[in-house]
Order: sequence, then structure tokens, then C-alpha cells
Amino acid sequence: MSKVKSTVITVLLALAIVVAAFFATISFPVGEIYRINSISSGIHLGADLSGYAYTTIYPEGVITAEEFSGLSKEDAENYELVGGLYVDRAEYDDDELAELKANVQSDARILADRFGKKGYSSYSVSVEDELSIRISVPTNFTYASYKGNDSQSHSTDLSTATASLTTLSADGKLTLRTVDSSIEQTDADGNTTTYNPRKDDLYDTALVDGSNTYSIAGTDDVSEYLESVTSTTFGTTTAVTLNFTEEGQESFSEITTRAASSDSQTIYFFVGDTQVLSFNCTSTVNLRSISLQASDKSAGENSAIAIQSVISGQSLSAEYQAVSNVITSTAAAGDSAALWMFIGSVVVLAALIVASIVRYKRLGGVNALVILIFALVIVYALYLLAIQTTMAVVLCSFIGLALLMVSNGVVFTEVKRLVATGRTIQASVKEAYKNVLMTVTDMHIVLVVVSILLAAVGVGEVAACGLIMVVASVASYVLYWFTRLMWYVLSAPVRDKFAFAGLKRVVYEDD
Amino acid sequence: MTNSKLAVKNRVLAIICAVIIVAGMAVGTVCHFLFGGFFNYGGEFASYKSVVVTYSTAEYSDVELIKPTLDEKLSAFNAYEVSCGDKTTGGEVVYKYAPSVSSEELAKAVAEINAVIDTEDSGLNVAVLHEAESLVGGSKAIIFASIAVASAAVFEFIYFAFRYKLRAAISALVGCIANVGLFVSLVALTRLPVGTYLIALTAAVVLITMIGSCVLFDRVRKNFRNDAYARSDRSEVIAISAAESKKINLVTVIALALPVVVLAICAVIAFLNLTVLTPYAAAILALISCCYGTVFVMPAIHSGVDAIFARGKAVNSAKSES
Repeated sequence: MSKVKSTVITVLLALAIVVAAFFATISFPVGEIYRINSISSGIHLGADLSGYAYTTIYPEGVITAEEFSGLSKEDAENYELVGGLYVDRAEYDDDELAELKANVQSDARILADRFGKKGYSSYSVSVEDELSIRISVPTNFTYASYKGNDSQSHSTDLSTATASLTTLSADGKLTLRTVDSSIEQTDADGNTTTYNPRKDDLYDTALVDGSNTYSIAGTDDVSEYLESVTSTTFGTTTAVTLNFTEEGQESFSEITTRAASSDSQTIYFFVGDTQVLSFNCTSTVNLRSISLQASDKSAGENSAIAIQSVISGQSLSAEYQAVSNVITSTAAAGDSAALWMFIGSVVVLAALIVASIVRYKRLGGVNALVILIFALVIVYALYLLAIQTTMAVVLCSFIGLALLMVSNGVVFTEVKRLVATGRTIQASVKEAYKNVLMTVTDMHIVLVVVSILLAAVGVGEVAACGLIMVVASVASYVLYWFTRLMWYVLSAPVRDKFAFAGLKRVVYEDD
Repeated sequence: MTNSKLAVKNRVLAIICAVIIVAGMAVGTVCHFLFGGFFNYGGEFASYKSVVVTYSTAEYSDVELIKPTLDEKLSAFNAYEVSCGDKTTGGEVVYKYAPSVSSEELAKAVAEINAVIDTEDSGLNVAVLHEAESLVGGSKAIIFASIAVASAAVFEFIYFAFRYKLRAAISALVGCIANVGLFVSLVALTRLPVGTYLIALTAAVVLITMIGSCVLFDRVRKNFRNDAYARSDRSEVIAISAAESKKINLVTVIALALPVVVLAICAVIAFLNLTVLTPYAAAILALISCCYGTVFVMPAIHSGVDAIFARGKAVNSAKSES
């Protein structure tokens, strides 16, 4: 390769790296309103790096110290301090209070199970003072939204977390509802009958827009209609599949006939007072299972988990006040943990680059180049694949980098061994890559397949680790071969190829 | 060190590993029955005491205005987690403490805080002490992670059986289980507070072990084909291969330990509290397990498995001859 060709390729590559690194790391304002956030500040973070969204649910008749202080003296007299909470003793005598505490404990276990099914990287459910349940889930904020530099993403992530907290902590029975107070049905003979959906005594439920709802299933226990509920995501579409029992299929067929004749033509699925799903119904549906599209993956999972929990008899025992206040906390590992983790990662990369150059001289420069490219690939992959980054995910990224360094280390050692036998650099490189081909390929095949298994079968943090390991392993293999290419390109104009690799030529004299 | 001594050394180190695993399992089992947990459950699993301070007056409109007062009164109790949150009006600061912290002392501090922040007894700024019991029902995450790790090990077994030999596949599988066992035992022995991060770290142990296994068994295969070792004892060849691949395995672990240490230092700077080091300490234990297991234990296991296969082969050939 000519010197000019080598220089052009090197300059182009360096430019590409600089541009990619610039957009990956630097955020900057454009004018007075807009701000372009860096790729790394657009990566979604786990609770350890961006905090939890949490709420506390209180049973009816239990209030906080803050609420207690707002009561009139007369009202306050009924309340008694239990732990850090106030209990309305007019509502609960000693036995009822003991029963409430037991119910809260069992409800917390049900909630822990529901939130566990969501596959969060981390979450917690705790019983406070035996009378309230505190639930925390990761905010999934990006660094930009965590620091208030991306209000749109902040609001979207917070809404998702709030919806999960609200839907999964829904208490009460599963009901099917309509907004129509009266439905006129016409049969095949043209006879018209009027069906009056029942105003449910238990739940005075309204839709978000304030419309009243009525039970379209009469007094039936709807949970007996269903065998199971699952949620499946294909690309960006999520479907919630309702599998009916034999009787459920018949009953649901009747209900859909009613709904199809109604003005709204919509069936709302409620768990207690919380709407979990809606079904636009224009004709009778007589199927053993139906799939309804959810607004997004999280919403679909929430609906499926909440309904499945209720139909499995896991309804909450106590009656709780509605979730009113979702609070976001600072990162569990410290307010600036994400920033420090980024700085730490940069320090480690710098250390590896320096170590590489010290060990392999100019060949170390080639290694440094691939380390930089690997780091950029990981940053862009975390961003584009929306992988929730936690400390474990960062560690897995470094395992991927270690794989690349081991692969290069193995081949560099082999080259050194072959050079020591008197071969030229070109011959040694060719022979070394041939010799270690299967070792390196084996390592990568094993890692890629295992990572795919972790990503596909695991949930939460393990799945995220698996996914980034898939990217890291593939990137490592590609960059392993790219190292050879760049070795060739960068060493082309250099006269002493041995010095380029930090090696000395061994000359054997003839006998 | 001679080759046979090397093989003996690996065997001794493998026995030490087995002893650690047995000790870890024993300690964990005793703790499970006497102290309520195989591991020392912390993080999302831990029960805790918390001081929750809500504020909404103009005097304390921002966390920066109220936090110095709270820190002054509560710093002596060494909170393992402090989080600040915004509410529609004002906000909330939560200090979490280990269950061992005295409730009386905390209640006294809370009363002192209330005397400072709620001078007009309006209840708008109020500190409350809560005692909480944590429940994590993440059985799905644990079950699915276990299935994923198990299927990964099975895949490794099948791949190694095809690419190397059945004996290498068995050794790799047993070695992988030993490494995970060593890691789990070390966590149980050291009583590190365990959070859900343990699941991800276990998967990391499997991944790192697999990189080490590939390097080791490739070297073993090459050396068995090498004429220079044609007359050597098989266990010696395995020991030599382990010694040759030791450097690469050590470099891998050191390359991984470097980010763990640097990130741990950064975490301490970010949080100014040593409790945040727990996941990093567990990560170091994971790396130690991988390094020790792959460099010393796996060759010893492979020697044993190889000897069993060789014996079986000898018996079979003796039978066929007779």
C-alpha cells in the first residue's frame, strides 16, 4: 500500500472517529431555545444511575403526618398515631386494625409478585409501619432528562412509570364497562330490546375524561370468563391476548353483541377503579381468545399482569386510596453517579490505551484505535437499542472489551512467538492469524450464543446485559479483523515493520 | 516448578476451592435457619428504617435550603441511601438506615428536626420516622435468569463436545458450575449485603468463565497435538497448558478489575459513602472466582475427567483384546 493511500485512509478514519466521539459525548445549545444532547446523555439509565419513581399507597382510613396536620381539631381526635402514620380509630378498632395490618402484609406480597413480573432491572416493595406499601420502580430517565435538559423525554418516562405504579397497584375486581347507560339491540327479526347496563355499587368509576361507566356484564364475576392473559411485543406493536374459558367465550360473545349495538362501541376493562384496557367492538366476537393492541409495551404488560393477577385470585384484600403522588428520587448510587461512571469509564479506556501503546509501541496505537471504536459502538448501541444502562450493563460492556483485548493479545503473542523463530513480520502476521483463528472464533461464537440466550430468556437487568454482550461480542469479532486491516494500513509506510510492532528481528546465522 | 509439581499444585488449589464452596454453603445454610437468609440480604431485599422529610413552605422551597439542617441532625446515623424527590409543591427527602440503627435515637433526631423546620406547627414541613420491611417478589427475574444461565451452560457443553472432546465439555461444564459455586460461597461467607445485582454478576461469572475455558481448552488441544509433549503424562500436559493460558486469563481479569476499581472510586466520590461499594466488592469477588476457578481449578477438573476417560478407554481396549 502506498504512503498516500495509507495516510488518506488513516485521516478519514480519524475524522470519522472524532465526529462520532463529538456527538457521542458533547451536548451543546443551538440558539436560545434548542439544545442538542449528546448520544451518551440520551442513554436510558437504571435506578442506580437515575433514581426511582416511587409512591406509597395507604389503606382507607390511614393518613400521613402531613395530611393529619391539615385536619380540624375535631376530626383529628379520631386519629391515633401508629408508627409514623395516623389511623382513623372510628373506622378500625383493635381487631380490625390487626386484620388491616395482616391484609397490608399479604397485599404487599401480591404487589411484589406483580412488579416482579414486569422485569424491572431493580424495584422494591416495602411495608412501612405495617400500614402502608411503598413501591419503587426505575424512572428509566436518560441523563439529559434526569438533569432537566430534556423535558419531553422526562415527561414520557415519568408517565410510563406512573402508569405502571397505578395499574399494577390496582385493587378490586375485574369488571367490563361501557359509557352507555342504555343500549338498544335489534335482533335478526327486527325486534328491538333495550339493555340497561348496571351502575355498579362497588365502584363509582369514571373514565379519565370524567364520563360515567356502567357494568356491561351485569352482576357476573368477569374474572371467571378468563383463563389467562398474556402480553406479546412484535417490534413496536404490543398485543394483550385474552384467553377465555368455554363459558367465558359465550358470555363475552353476548357482551360484544351488546357493545356493538351501543353508541360508544367500546368495552372498558377495569381492575377496581383503574382502567387497564379498552376494546373497540363493532361486531359480535365469538372466539376462544382475542388480542387487543396496547398503546405501548409497558402499558400492554401492565394490563396483562394486573388482569392475570386478579383472575388468579390475587386481588388486594384491603381498600386503598388512589395513587395520587408519584415522586422521583435521586440516583440510588448518588446524585452524580452516572456522570462519575462516565468519567470512570473514560479513565479506564485512557488507561487501557496508554497500557496498549506502552506494551506494543505503534502497534498499540492500532489497538488504541479499535478500543476507541469499540467504545463508540457500545455508546451508540446503548442509545439506539434503548438498553437500560445499569452498573452491571457497564461491566458487561467491559467484558466485551476484554474479549477484544484477549483476542488481540492472543494474536500479538503468537506473532511475537513466530517472529522469534526468524520469520518476517508479514509472514508471522499471516501465520499467527491463521493459527489463532479457531481459538478466537470459538470464543466469539460461544459468547454470542450465550449472550443471545441471556437476552432472550432473561428478564430485566440480565436481558439488558445479554443484549449489550451480543453487540459487544459481534463488535469485538469485527474489530479483531479490523485490527489486522489497520495494522496493514498503518504499517504500510513504515520501513521497519518490526519496530512498528515493538519487536526485534531475529536473524539466524547459517551453520 | 516441574510439570508434575504444577499438576499437584493445581489439584491442591482445586481442593481449597472445594473447601471454600463447602464452607460457604454451610455458612449460608446455617445463616438461613438462624438469621433468616442464606445471604445477607440488602439493597432491594433489606428491611430498613427511614426518615422521610416533606417540605412545602416558602422558607424551605428547595431541597438545598432544607438539606443542610437535615444532614446536620442525621449525619451521625450513617444513612446508606439518601434520595431527594420533587412533589407538586415542595418535595421530599428520604434517609434510609439499617435496621440496627437505634429507633429511639432516630426519633430524638426527628423531633429535633421538627422543632427546627416546623416552628409554627403547621405540619407543612414535617419529618417522620418509618420502619419498613422490604419484600422483593422478583421470582420471575431469578427463575428466568437461572434458565438463561443453565441453557448457556448446556450450549457451552454441546459446543465444546463438538469442537473439542466430550471430556473437555464435561470439564468446562463442571468448571463453570464450580466458578459460580465459588462466587456464591464467597458472597455467603463474606456476608456482603446482596441486592438484585447478584443475578447479573452470576451471569457475568458464566460469561468470563467461558472466555477462559476457550483459551484453556484450545491450548490443551494444541499441546496434545504437539510432538514435544508426546511422551509427557496427560495431566502434566494439561498443567502446562493451564500455565501457558494463565497469563491471558489473568490479563482478562485484571482488565476487568481495573474498571471495577475505578468505577468504585468514582462511586465513592459521587456518594461520599462506603456503603455504595457493595456491588463493586461483589464484582471483585466474581472476578476472583473466575480467575481462581479458570486458572487453577478447571485444569485440575480436566485432569480428573481426562484420567477417568483414559482409564475407561484402557479397560475397553483390554476387554476387546481379551
